[in-house]
Amino acid sequence: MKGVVFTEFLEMVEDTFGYEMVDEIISNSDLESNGVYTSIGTYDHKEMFSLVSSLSKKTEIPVHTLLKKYAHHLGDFFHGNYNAFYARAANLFEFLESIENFIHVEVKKLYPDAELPTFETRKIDHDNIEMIYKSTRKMSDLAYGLIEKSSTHFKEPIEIKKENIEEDGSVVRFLISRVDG
Amino acid sequence: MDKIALLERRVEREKKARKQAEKILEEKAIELFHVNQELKNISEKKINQIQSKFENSQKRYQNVLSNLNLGLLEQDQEGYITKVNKVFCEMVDYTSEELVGNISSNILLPDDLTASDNKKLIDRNLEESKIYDIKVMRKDGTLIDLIVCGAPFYDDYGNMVGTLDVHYDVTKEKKLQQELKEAKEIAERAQQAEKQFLTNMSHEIKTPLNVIVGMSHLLNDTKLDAQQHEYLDILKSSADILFNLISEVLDFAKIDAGKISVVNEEFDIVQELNNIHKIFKIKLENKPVSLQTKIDEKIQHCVVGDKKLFNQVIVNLLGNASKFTEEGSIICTATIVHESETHIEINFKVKDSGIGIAEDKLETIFQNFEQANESISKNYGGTGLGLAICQSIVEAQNSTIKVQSAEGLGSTFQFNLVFEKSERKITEQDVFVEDSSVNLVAGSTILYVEDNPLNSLYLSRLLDKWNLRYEHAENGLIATEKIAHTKYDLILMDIQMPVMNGYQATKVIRTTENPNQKTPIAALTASTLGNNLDKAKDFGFSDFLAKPFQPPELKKLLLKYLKHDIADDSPETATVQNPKVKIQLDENQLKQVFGDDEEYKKEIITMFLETIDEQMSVLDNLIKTGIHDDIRKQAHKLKPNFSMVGFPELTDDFVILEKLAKSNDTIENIITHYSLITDKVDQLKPQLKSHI
Repeated sequence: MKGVVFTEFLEMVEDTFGYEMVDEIISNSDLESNGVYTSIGTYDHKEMFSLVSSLSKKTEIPVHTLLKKYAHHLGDFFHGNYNAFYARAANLFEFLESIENFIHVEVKKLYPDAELPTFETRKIDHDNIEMIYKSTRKMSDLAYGLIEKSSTHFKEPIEIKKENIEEDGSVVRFLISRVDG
Repeated sequence: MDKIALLERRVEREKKARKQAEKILEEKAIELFHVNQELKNISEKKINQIQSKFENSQKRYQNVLSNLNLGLLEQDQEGYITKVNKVFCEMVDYTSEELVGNISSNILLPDDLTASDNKKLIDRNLEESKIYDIKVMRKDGTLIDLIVCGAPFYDDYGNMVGTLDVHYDVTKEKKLQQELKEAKEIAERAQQAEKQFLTNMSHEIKTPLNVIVGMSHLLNDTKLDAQQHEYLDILKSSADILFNLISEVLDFAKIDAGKISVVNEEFDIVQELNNIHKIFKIKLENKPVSLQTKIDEKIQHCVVGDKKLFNQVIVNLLGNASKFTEEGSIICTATIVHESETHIEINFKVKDSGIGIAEDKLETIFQNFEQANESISKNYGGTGLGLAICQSIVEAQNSTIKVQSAEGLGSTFQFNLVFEKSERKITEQDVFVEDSSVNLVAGSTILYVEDNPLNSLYLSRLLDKWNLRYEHAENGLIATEKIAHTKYDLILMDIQMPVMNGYQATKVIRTTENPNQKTPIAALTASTLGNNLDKAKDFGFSDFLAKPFQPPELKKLLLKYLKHDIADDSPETATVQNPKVKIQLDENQLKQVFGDDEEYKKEIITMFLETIDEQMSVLDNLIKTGIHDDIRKQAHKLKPNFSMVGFPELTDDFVILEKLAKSNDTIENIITHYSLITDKVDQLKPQLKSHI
């Protein structure tokens, strides 16, 4: 898993709970990296689960809530640092479609070792789009939060229906509908 | 304290993270450096490759250009030479320094050519590529022929700045072309001269030959013993062969020059075929070959066509058939293929049972000088021109001769001709006057104009023989003097004569006021070329007689133009039956002779049949020996027998035979008549047998 996911996660934890919390979850988790992350490095994704579960235990906030919260933070980070990907899409649906077909293609060019989830999209009509999330990491909640955040970036209010296709959460279907307003 | 420890851990983590990041970055930097290096190498290599490729191709084109021996010259808009290649320098024998900077037309074009080539040079400014040939002057002043391809070239802004000319030296080719042209002309002139020589010589040979043929006819009419007759026959047949050979050569020269002129006239095709039949009947007498001529009975009208050419083809085909058939039959047929109101198409076929032609030779037999094999020339003679001439003649009438043949199984030659139909009906029977004493009305006077003393002698003897009055003029001028004060009934005019030729003399006779302005004039000439007949008619001749002519031909001409008297009961008038005409037993005649005495009739007829073969064979032998008096006696002896057995017609035939022999007529005429008699005798025998 790319280092940026860890650095931004710890950033969010520090911003929200202070560096003590960062120090605490690092210390409580059995981490091969000893909690030393740089955004350009690559680390075992299991460390992320350890960190998130440690945080959940400590704060008593459910993991999925934490992941959604982190997704909102990450969404802002992406929007701030990789705005070009947002700017080339005319609207939210176009942007969502471009994740698999364009953004991930570009990411792969830079980081050939990156292990990315897949997002198959299928436009149902003008106001509805279907996204199938597939990943062995089973982090569809992170995806959920990122979709929500991009809706705010494009100022297009939406409603998201999430449905597990595989029970373990490795394949998940999102039905995203525009909401007039 | 906790705070400090926390900060220390944090700083420691940050430090480690920085080092980690620095390490990654350094690795990435090294990676980038290598990648960059690789890229640089690749592009350099590529550039080098492309460059060397370009250089190679340039070199190759330069090689090609120099190997092709193409001279290149670049010049600017004003015609100043800016660049030349080595090949061009070699072509014109200048160095590159001597050429560059000079105006191309000044240095390279000969003065007298500059003007004519200016046009080409101006054209070049029209900004399009041109190919033209040009004469260029080398340094030493000699001229070479070049083919030039000139094309404009442009600067970077697309403005035309000059031309690039590619030159190819064709001096050798031009020279060769010229030499070929001259050689061809020489060859053609030589061929023409050869042809002319052939024609002239043939012509020259024909005149004395005419005399030989004529004199042998006259000699035949004198008292000769059997051996002399035999020698004379050999002389005559040799002269005939020579005459035919020369005719063929002349025909060939004419045909080769594409000069066959089809001269249409009205003629009786049935009569022609019957006449030819008679000639060949005689020729084939000594061979066990039967000759049949079958003419479609539906042919009722005379036709309009070239009689002479038609005769020539049929005679030639029959001649070949009789030459190559040792036994069996020759059948000549004429069958209507199609007939309309105005035209008739007839198929002519000559079929023989002779030696035939091998399949692989069939294609070549119509070519000049081709005979089916070389031994034919040895065994049978001939020029090998006959069939080629026939084919050309038939082709001139828009048809083709076709041949079917197999070795040992005989040959069939056939062709179709389309004729215009004439109003005149064919004559059923032909009237021939065979005897010497034609009853030409006394007072008819002939003028013959002939310079050759031998020909004159021949003519005068014939005219004497026929009891005709005549006068002789030695050339055209003397003739024009004679015609001014004597009225003639016919003028026989030779063509080629000294002082004044036949054309000129005839023109004078026709155009000046004189008693003979409308007298028929017949041209006598050794030339057989068809256009001479046209020319003769243009000059006012009424008729035409080709030399050498035989007495009957001249007689025919005389009868055509002179008043003559053919008495009904004249024994001199012989009726030559159409070969197809059958004779019929005259029952009335038998009744007159025998009354009702059947016994006596039977006895006489039986005796007749028992003796007739022997008697006929006696006559046959006598005719072969050619002794006129003996023939006459035998004919006299036999003639009454036929009336006795009911064939008075044959008695008449024997009377004629007797007369012919008595008047020492030519043996040919006698044979012709005799062959008719034998035909009839053969027919009467079965009729008589069945009667008893």
